[in-house]
Amino acid sequence: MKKNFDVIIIGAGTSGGMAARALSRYQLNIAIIEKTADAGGGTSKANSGIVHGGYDAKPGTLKARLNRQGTEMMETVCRQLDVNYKKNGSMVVAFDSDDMAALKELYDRGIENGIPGLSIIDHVKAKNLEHNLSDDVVGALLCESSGIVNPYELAVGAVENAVMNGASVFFDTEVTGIKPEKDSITVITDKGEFSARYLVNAAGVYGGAVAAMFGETVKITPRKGEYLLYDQAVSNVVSHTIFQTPSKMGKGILVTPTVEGNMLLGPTSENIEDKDDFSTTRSGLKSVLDIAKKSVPDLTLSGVITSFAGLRAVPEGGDFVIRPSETDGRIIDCIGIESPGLSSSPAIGEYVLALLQDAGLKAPLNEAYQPNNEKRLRFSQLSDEERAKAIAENPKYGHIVCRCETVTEGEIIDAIHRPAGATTVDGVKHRTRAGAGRCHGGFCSPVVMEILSRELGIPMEEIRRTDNGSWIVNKKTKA
Amino acid sequence: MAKEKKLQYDVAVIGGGPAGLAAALAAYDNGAKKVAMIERAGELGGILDQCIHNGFGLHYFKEELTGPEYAYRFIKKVEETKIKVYLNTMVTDITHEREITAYSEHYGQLKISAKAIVLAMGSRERTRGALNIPGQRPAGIFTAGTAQRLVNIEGYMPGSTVVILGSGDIGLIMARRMTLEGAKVEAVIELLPYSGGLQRNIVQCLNDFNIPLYLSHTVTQIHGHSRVTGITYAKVDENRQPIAGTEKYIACDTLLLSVGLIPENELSKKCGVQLDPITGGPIVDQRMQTHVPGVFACGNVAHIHDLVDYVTEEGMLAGKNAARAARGKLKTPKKLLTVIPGDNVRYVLPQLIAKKKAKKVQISFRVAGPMERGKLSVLYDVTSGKSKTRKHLAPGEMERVGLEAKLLKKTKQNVTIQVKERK
Amino acid sequence: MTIKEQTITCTVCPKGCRVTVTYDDNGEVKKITGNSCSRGEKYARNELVDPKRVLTSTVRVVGGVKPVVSVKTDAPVSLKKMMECMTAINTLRPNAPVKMGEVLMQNIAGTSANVVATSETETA
Repeated sequence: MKKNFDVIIIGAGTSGGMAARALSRYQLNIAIIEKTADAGGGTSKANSGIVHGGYDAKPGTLKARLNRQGTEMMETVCRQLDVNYKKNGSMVVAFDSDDMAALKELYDRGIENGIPGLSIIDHVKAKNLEHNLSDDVVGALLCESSGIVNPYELAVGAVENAVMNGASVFFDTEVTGIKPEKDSITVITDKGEFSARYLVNAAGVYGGAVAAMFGETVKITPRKGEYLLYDQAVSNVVSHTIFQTPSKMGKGILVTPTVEGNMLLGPTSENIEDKDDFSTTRSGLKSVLDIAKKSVPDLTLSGVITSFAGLRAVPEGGDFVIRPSETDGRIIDCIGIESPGLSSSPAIGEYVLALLQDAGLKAPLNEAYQPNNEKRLRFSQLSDEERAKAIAENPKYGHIVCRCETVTEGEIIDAIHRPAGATTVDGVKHRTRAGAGRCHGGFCSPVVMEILSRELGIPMEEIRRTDNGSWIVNKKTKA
Repeated sequence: MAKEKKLQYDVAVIGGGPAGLAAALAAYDNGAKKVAMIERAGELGGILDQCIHNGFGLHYFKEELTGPEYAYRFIKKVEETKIKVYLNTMVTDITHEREITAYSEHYGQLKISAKAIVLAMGSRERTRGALNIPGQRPAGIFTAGTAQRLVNIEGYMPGSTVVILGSGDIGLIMARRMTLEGAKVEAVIELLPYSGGLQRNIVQCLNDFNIPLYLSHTVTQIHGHSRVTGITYAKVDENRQPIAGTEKYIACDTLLLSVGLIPENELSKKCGVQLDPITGGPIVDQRMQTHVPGVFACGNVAHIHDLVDYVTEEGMLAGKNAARAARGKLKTPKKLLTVIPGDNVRYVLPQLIAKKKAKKVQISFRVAGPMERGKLSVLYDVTSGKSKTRKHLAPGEMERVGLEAKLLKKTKQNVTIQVKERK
Repeated sequence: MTIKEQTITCTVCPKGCRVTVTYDDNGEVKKITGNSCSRGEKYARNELVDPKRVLTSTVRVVGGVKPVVSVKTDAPVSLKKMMECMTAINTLRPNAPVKMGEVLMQNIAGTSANVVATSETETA
């Protein structure tokens, strides 16, 4: 039986999630269809987590406008969605006079884009702000409005909020065909057919492939970026996000704290063919460190807890492709969302909503709309008194499952039972940080599996790390 | 109002594994009246509970036991005492003044103050991230210890075709264990030109089952989107870098990592204990006391052991001295001797000797590289003690040497442990 | 008649002595060197003919707090019989409670060794 909706959004990443959330302010029957097992399972799960100031984009582009708006909205949105966010500021560092000239250009562009808090600082001021910067740094563009956010929390939070406000989400559901018909659009998936009056293509690196299903040609190239993530013990190396001045040699490698206080280096930049190739390479990881050392010379491999790669969806024209499809006005493309996509995402959601309204979507306001997600208890961030109180209310908050990140069973159970909750080990990790620490799940993953198995009523053999096929144990011993 | 329980103990032992069990018992036997043992798991025994193979206790009990049996002997003894055991309880903080904060579902928040503390939290396994193996990030990559827990405690198989990177003891043990449970172990791959595990484990876990061990090789790539589908491995040169053109592929669904253990000292750092960068554990004197008075360390928290028997000995030493410290009977002289790892010695423990009343001092150490025959000697300042010949020295096997009391008494500055190769 | 030599790593204790066994075509042992104790000599002799090991594994328990308990053979069993022993162990399904040292199977695979529990579990 076909499932009918007003709007179907393909892709539960940050863009799709924010679009769904914006739409859920209206009385609409919304479906989000997601190929992977969780919100933010694609580009959103592996990127730098930077909320860019917005000086970088060419004035007049969608990127420039949505970046500025998104970054302005970010603090509020993160508070509403209960997502970790910090305005830590960024610096683009220059190593020579060419770089300084480029910084000036960036500064001018930033002013034109209406970005607050920009200034060009000299070597002394830069070193005062960041002691570990290289002595070769001659100056920097300081951007006070830049921030850091947990990217998968943002995607998960947006989808959770949309679902809380009535949207439906279908994970592990792959779109295989799209048939625009007179009164509706049919979306064919490996889990059956869906139909809707309007469709949003927010399929990330698969955006071009999905567009081809309704007859539109858009080239989206996956661009791989490799990263190194450090133990929280290696914190305080830098407090700002440190970019290098973009040059003919490339965009450079950033050094940044994450919002959880780890240190992150990356990304490399390599166009690839395979849309699922999240592999890291020996040469890539080496170049991350080598290039990052230009900014912060004392960096070493010691303290690295993991390396990973993310894919950015790179559009052909250089700007986001957010527009009604050329082939069917009822379909909104929301693709090519490369950097600064994360920063822009709250504004992207609003823009998609506006485009759908322009295309004729009408609905009364959803009176019951609740912008705030239910606040999560984050045990590690509580004071002793708050912890004692939480345990008094629910003893499961007294059982610390993840020793590295101090995550309790209570938080894991909560993550599982929230709207669009965790169903996988990575889903738990992304929501609670259980398994994100220095032992990387060595101790807690068997316990997390047991909790998932118990709470979801599924056998251990069916517990996955991420997507279909990512089984962890395959049978009982002695079976 | 939040209910806060304030508890006072003479000795509080953090961790209920072999080191903690020995420490708690020794503290109790040496006059500490109120002893607490705080264990994060639901049972005492620590890692021994999942080490179901035999080979434990040959030194201490003069018989061969399995891990759970070895632990059981101590657990039974603890049950006969008035030692208070907190299970399923995680310590989150220890202050310099020996105030402990812990949490459990059963007890809620615990605030414990102790006259002496023994750190016995054990170690954790080095992960893929620490190795920086490139490739995909599929499911199916486990540390050997996690796999061991899944198989031996939970009763689940983490895969069917297995490659093991690293020839540490847990990896070797798991090669046999997975084979016996019906999995196919394709190979054990070791970066170094020698194994990091005990010789008996190479024989009994690999040779017995015809599992190949590739020395001077490493995994250069992990394949598979959702689950591991295979690995590429290659020879390495003398700088441990993969040699281009020597890559080979093995199809497998599981990669186990047995690439070393790291002492878990996050709590130690919180209470201000100084760590030795080589052992990764606290710097201790011959009584196992750290730089923080009244705080002791033993077992894998202090340095990685390969035999539990020595963990027990160390735990007993720490526990006994913790009891003395709790009674105010442990004096630390201002002047401490330094124990120095000399030629071909990677580390020593204890790193310090509180000279007053230092009698039977035993130094544990590891050699820097394998050696068929080595001349082991101890320098007391500049005076050489009796030298001994030791055979089959390997970094994977901890060595011990007793100091000569007479020479130690005359020592002013330091003691150096050194090994010279003998052809 | 030719004399052959084989070096065996003794696994009786963690010392890991390299024991060299000299033997002739008939398998008759001529000389054993390198061992530090008499157990080592016996071990090396056996190792040449029919190596034996204590087998350790787990057994699935019915109705226990824990799903499995660990077990061992109370005497070394021939390496050649190891997989046969595993097949037997895999079929065992004792009811909880299981006590430490409890004999769960006698004379496994005709080896005269018994399977005993090396851990215990209460009834769930």
